[in-house]
This record gives sequence, structure tokens and C-alpha cells, in this order.
Amino acid sequence: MNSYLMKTVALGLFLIACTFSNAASFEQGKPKIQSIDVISFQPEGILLIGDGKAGQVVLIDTKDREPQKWTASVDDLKGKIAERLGVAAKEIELIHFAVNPVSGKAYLAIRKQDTKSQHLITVDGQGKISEFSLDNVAFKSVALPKGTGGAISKITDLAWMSDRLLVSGVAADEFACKLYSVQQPLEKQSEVILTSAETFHVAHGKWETKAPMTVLMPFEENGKKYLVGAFSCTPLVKYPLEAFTENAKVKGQSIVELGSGNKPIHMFTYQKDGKSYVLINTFRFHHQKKPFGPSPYWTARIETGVISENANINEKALKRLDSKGEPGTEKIKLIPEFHGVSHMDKLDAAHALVISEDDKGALTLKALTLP
Amino acid sequence: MMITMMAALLIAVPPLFQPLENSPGVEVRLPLDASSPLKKKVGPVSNDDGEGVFVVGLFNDETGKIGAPLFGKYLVRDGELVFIPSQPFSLGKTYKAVRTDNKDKEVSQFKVPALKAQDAVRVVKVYPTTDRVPANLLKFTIVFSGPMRQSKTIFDAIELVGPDGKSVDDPWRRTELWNDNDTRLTLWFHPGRVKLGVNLREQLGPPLESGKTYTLKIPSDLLDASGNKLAQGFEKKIIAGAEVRTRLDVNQWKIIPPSMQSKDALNINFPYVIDPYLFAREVMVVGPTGKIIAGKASMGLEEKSWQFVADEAWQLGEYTIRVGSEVADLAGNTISRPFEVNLETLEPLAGVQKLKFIVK
Repeated sequence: MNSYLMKTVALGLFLIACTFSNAASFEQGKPKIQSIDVISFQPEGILLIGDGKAGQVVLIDTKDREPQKWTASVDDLKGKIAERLGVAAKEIELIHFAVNPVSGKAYLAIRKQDTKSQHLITVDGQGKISEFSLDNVAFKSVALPKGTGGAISKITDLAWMSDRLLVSGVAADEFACKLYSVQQPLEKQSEVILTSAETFHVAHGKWETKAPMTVLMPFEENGKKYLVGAFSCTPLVKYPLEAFTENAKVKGQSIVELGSGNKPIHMFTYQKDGKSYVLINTFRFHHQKKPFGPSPYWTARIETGVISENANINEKALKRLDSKGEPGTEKIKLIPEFHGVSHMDKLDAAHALVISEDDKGALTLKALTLP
Repeated sequence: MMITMMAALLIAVPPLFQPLENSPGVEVRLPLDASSPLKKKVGPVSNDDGEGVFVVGLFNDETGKIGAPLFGKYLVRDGELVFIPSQPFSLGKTYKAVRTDNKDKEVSQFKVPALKAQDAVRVVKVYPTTDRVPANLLKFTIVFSGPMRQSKTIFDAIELVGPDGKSVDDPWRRTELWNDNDTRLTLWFHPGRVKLGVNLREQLGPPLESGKTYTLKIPSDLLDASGNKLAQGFEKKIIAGAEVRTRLDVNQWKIIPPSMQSKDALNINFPYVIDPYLFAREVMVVGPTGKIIAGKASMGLEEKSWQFVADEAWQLGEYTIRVGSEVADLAGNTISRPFEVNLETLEPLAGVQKLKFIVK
């Protein structure tokens, strides 16, 4: 057996094993979900729902494993989904977005305002819009401990990191960074490690311990695992995963500063032409005053070499992207083709699935080539 | 007679909306023609098959068009094709059902009555209730009289107007934080503008400057859970004072103990304004035997004092007020640490504090 075939068979067996071990503890029925704050996927197509109000992550076996080709571009996405829910476009809001890495189907968490209800909607490669009903699904939930202080009010992001799930949460009344690490297999009784992270804020000159993370991304280099986190502001901070132990205060390194007035939304890694990159999209809340482009939503591509940087960090990581949106290094580039992208996720090795928003708030779902 | 019966059979009937008897839902039913391939089925049928007979959509009053088929499921029951929408119909909307299996496209409609007029929701209170705040104020807490509609548009709708009459640019952290029944919104200033030395503050300045007066404006067009506007807008003036960046010192609190055998209130006076929600969560009174004392607690004027009335009369002995480390002032400085710290030179963090008082 040649090595390629062996690797393929091994990967197949691994995926089957993952699926099988997960399936063993799923129960059938309707999960009790109080709020869908964020959604994400495990590599084998298990949907992860972050429910901050109930303090849990719910895993759903979507059974959606049929790969498909994306040929569609769905314009007026919000209007089309609203119509199927029986209301006008202004009466729904898009909460979060993820792509099933196995099928390539888009999953959207939608809030229907008049009934204060939340819905999972899927869009397939041909643009067919369906509702993913949670009435009778294979599911399990992982409870997040309250820890000291108050319970979290909202989960801000979820990231699956090959052997563990990382969850970031924010509390209503206190300024806190609550970060949960759940080792696989994910079960109701899983041991959950709760930590808080300390971050050297670029230009701050001090350790600041409490800023809640809003976006999480797994990152590996030289066999070592890291969490890359983003905040309401724009330093990207790298934390060694091995340091996440119970009640530990983990110190991170600021590695990129994307300029003030921007709120990161999604980020993921990919490879192209033998190089590794991170793609990150952000909402610029200073768009009216100092635009970075035609839309408040803009996207940057970062060479992962910047993230691997161990010398130019913290205060030296200053202004990789300055206040005019001009990169201070060639390793970071603004991507004009992604202007207007409010949500995105990796579709396959060469494409992202994105939702772009025009100046009237209309949404279009489409596949874009990774830059 | 025979001709009349045949004619009747040929006239296609529209699907009928049928409110359910035991629940607020509505289902749509259509007797299947004898020739329908679905006639012999019982139970669920695919949406493609169901939509081949009739569809149900939202009617747009402005365009006169019927929207795409609603999410829902079809089944055959007692010779009828039944559509059950996945969502309850929305109040005030009109829905139409259209036959798709014949050219005449018979249509029926169902109008859901609008919600009866009810008391409009209003802003009950905004914390801090004082108008004197430190310039590094961290958040407002807005309490409404009824459930509100969650929406990211609140961050643009709620304004902070400066002394020059202009809105302060983007003062809020854009993370919606509502309580369980959506009657309380915690509105944080963007921490990047409050913290010293952070890029955002360096470039835009802090949202509040000491010595200046600002107005928090909550417009009446915020929508409640039913989609109605507030009874009226709400404005609150605040005067920014010096920034406060020190850890809270519980030794500055003045405790006024109650008398033995009385049901008097235990009082604590603070030299600064306290965050009422964190205080309620983090503080408890423990009796001489170590038992937690049950009672009613309330914040005093401008959250600068706290009263606690025990359910039972106070007994002779030493009581303890257990103060959790997250009790904070308006600038996020807590019992354990100031909001901003340099951990490389930080003093050891203080933990839970135990304040003693004697009842005699």
C-alpha cells in the first residue's frame, strides 16, 4: 500500500471512529436551547451551538454529509428567508453563520423578531433555502460551569481544536474574559476547564487581564497548538494551549494590530500556492468617519508567518495596519474582492462562502475564491 | 342531477385555513381529489409532493404578491392534504393558500388579527441613577417596563450627546447583553476608549471628558417585543467627574448595625456609587452561628447606600458581611483590583472580604 493510500485509509478510519464515538452518546429528541449565540462545526459535520443563556454548548449530528458543488449566488437572502418564515425582511436578523465542512452547506442562525424565536436555516449549493428543524435531532449538550463571579450571558465564539473545544463567553454585569476548554470526547459530564486570559494590549504598555474575546481560531505551528483570539478592538493575540489549566491566567502575545475602530467577526486559516494565510473579516464602526473601503465590512489576509512571529510582538506589534487601513507590512493585505463581507467561513481548500451586505442592508450569499 | 354533481366535482375548491382547537396554531387543509396520487397515502408526504398540490405564503399588502412557500410540513390525514407551518402565523399578517395543481389557482386567505392595544413599554430606570459619574464610567443599565426586541440596531439608536450638541462617535461596545426576559439592557462603553493608552482612545479620545455634561438619549422608536415603539423617549443627563482608577477599599464603608431583637435595617454607606447588580450578587450576611441570614436588600439613593432587613429579628452577637471580589464601582474597579492593572507590578489581588459588625 503506498503512503498516500495508507494516509487516506487512516483518515477515513479516523473520521468513522470520530463519528461512531460521537454517535454513541447522542440522544434523539428536541434539545432545550435558550439562545443561539454562535454556531460552528466539528470537522466531521457535527454542528456546535453556543447557548450562553443556558450556559451550554449543544452538539447536533446534522446527518448532512453529502458533498455538493456551489453553483448558486443567492441575492436578497434576508428577504427570501424572511418570506419563508412568514414575515418581512426587517423582521429577522442574521445572528451567526457557519459552513458544514463535510457537505459544504451553509448554516445560518436567524432571529425572528415578532416571536422572539431563533431558527437554523440552511442553504445548499444550488441556493435552495430550507429550515433545519431542531424538533427531532440527534444531540448532546455540554454544560459550562459558572466558576467564580457571575454566569456568562452570551457565548461569543466556539472553536474546535482537533482534540478540544474552546468557548469564549461574556457576562452582562462584569468585565471578564471567560474561556472554557473541553477535552474530547464531548459529553454531558465532560470535564470543563475554565480559565481567564491575560493580554498585552498593543500600545497599552500594561498587561490587561479581562477583555472578553469575541473571535477564536485554532492555530498550530511546529507541532504546538495555540489559540488566536480577537477582541472588540483589533489586536490578535496568540495563547499557548498547553497553558490552559484550571483557573490559570494564561498570558498571550499580541501579534497583529489591525487598527482601531474595527470589530473582528470571523477568521480562519487556509493554504494557497504553498503558503499559509489567515483570512479575517471585520466590521469597521468608524466607517463613516474614516472608511477603509466602500463598506464598513472589510477583510484582510495575513501571512501566518506574522502569527508565528516571536520577536515583533506586544508593543512592537504596533500598527501592522494603520489608521488609514494601510498595512505596515507586505505580509498583511486588504482584499478588495471581500469588501462588504459581513459573514464568512471556509468552504473548501480554494473557496470561502460569504454573506455580503450592501448599503441598504440586503444580503447576498456566494462563494468567493480564497485570495 | 348527474350533470350537476359532475360539475360540482370539477370545480376545484381552495385550501382552507383551520385554526386548531387546542393550540394557537393554524393548519391548512384541502380534500384531495380522487385522482390525486396522494389520495392513497396516509401520514407525512414530501414538501415537493405537497407543494405540487397547494402552497401557503405570506401576502404582501404593498405589492399584492404572495411570498415563497412557508417552512412547514405536509401530511395526508382522512383524505385531506394538511400543511402545518413550522412557525405560528405572525400577528397582523395575511397569509394565502394557492392551489398549484390546477390552472384556476384557487386562493383562500387568512388574516391574523393584530395584537390588541396594550400599554406601551417605557424606560423605568437607568443605572447609575446619579448624574455625577467618573469620566471612565463603564456602562449604563437600562430597565424597561416590558420585554424589548433584541436588535443590533440599538447601538446606533441609543445616543450619547456631548456638550456641543453632537453625538459622541461610536461610544458603545457592540455586544447585546439582555437579561432573560429582555427587560434589562446592559450597555457598555467600548472598553478600548476607556482604557488608558489603547489605540482607540488615543485616536478618538475617551467617550467622556471630565468636567463636561452629556445626555444619554434613548429614542422612542426603539421597538418592544411586539414591534411597538416606546411610550416616549428617555433622556438622562450626566456630568463627568475625575476618572477613578483605584481598587475599592471596603474599610471606607460605614456600617450601621441594627439593634438586638429589632427588625431594623442593617445599613452600609459607601463613599462612592456601587454597581447594584454586582453588589446584589456578591454580598451576603452571615449570622453568629455561620448561617446565611435571609432578608430583603435594597440599594439606597444613587446607589451610595445599602439596606438589609432580615426576615427575623437580629440576635446578640457578631455578624459577618461577606463581600465577593467582583463588587465594583462605576468604573469597573473591584474589591480585588482596579479595572486597569500592570500585572508585572501588581500588588497581590484581594479576595473575598469579611466585614464584621456586632448586634447588641
